[in-house]
Amino acid sequence: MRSDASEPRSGWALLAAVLLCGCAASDAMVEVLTPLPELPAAGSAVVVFVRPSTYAEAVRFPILDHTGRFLGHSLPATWFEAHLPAGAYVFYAQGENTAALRALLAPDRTYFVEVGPKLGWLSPRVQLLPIAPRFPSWAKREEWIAESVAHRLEHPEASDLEPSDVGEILERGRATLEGYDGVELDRRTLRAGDGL
Amino acid sequence: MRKSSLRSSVIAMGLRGVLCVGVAFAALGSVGTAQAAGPGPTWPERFARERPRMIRAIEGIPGPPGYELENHYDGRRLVTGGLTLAVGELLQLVTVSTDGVEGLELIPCAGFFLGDYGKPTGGYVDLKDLGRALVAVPTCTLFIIGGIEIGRGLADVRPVWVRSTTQGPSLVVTGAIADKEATIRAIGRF
Repeated sequence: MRSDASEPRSGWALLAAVLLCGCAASDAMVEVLTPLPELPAAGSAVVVFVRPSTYAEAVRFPILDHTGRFLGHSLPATWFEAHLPAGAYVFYAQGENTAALRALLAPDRTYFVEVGPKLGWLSPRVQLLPIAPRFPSWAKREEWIAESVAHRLEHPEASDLEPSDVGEILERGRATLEGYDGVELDRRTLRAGDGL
Repeated sequence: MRKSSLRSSVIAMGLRGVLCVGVAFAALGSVGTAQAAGPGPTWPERFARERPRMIRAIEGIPGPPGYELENHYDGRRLVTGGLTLAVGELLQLVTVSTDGVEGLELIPCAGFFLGDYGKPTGGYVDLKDLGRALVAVPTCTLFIIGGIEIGRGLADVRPVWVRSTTQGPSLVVTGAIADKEATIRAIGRF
């Protein structure tokens, strides 16, 4: 995302790591040994972003909320959680496209969102899908969490997103959301009752 | 010489033991931190209340009662690899079947150059063999990719605790002893 010419060495190191290992990495995230997502604190909600697939393993998707706050990098076969005050949100993920998901978070509930990579023209696309009882993915939720590695946002400053990038993501995300019709919008909406 | 090598191996074993204990404590410590972060219930309390169907197995942490340890693999890679191999085999079958199919010709990749390959046809350039050799290149690439995908899928071991769904069969024996009915219930795995 960031085209910082002052750090060519880290760029080459990242490229070499991707070529040798074939997997995405993020300085912003750390692995944590936890079997389940944490419970939400009183009055707040937890949103778990799970990316069960190993497709597009060299690509990490940054996830932001509608204020431009960086919530974390979604890496292949990983999940991470975001602790947020209850309320209305829009989440964005950046791939070749910009995916958007509306969410109404009720307090003391845990919500789940699938980060799904898709085939793109030049690089992988991404979609944010609610994991809710009305969708088949609800039954796979526990399996996806169990088979994925838990991550935590430890260094938000290492998001590699410039303010201009954030602005662009928000703008493109809003356009994505406006482009959805009624049915498609419902498939991109996390209702208050969808949480545990 | 012998004593020093013994001493070094003992030291190595000791260091390895310390490392293992350290890793186990680190794992326990990390989970403890995650547990302590929320003021709410402990992990056993949460497992008992939420009864998740599956939990990630963490090395050094025993699983909750009623759960069995299973190794899961990357299903997507296994399916993709299997399909790639199947497509490669199909392509090979179609290619080598011009003069009937021999068993040897079905060997992945190598089968292109076995069987009736190389048999003299009288012409200066055997177009049939040339075609087989040309198709062999992408097909062998498919076999290699499929093999790598399956290998990576199997290498991606994901140990998980799975809640036991099957209860052990029970045997109920009822009889009358001294005019009183006695019931003996035996529960176990057969």
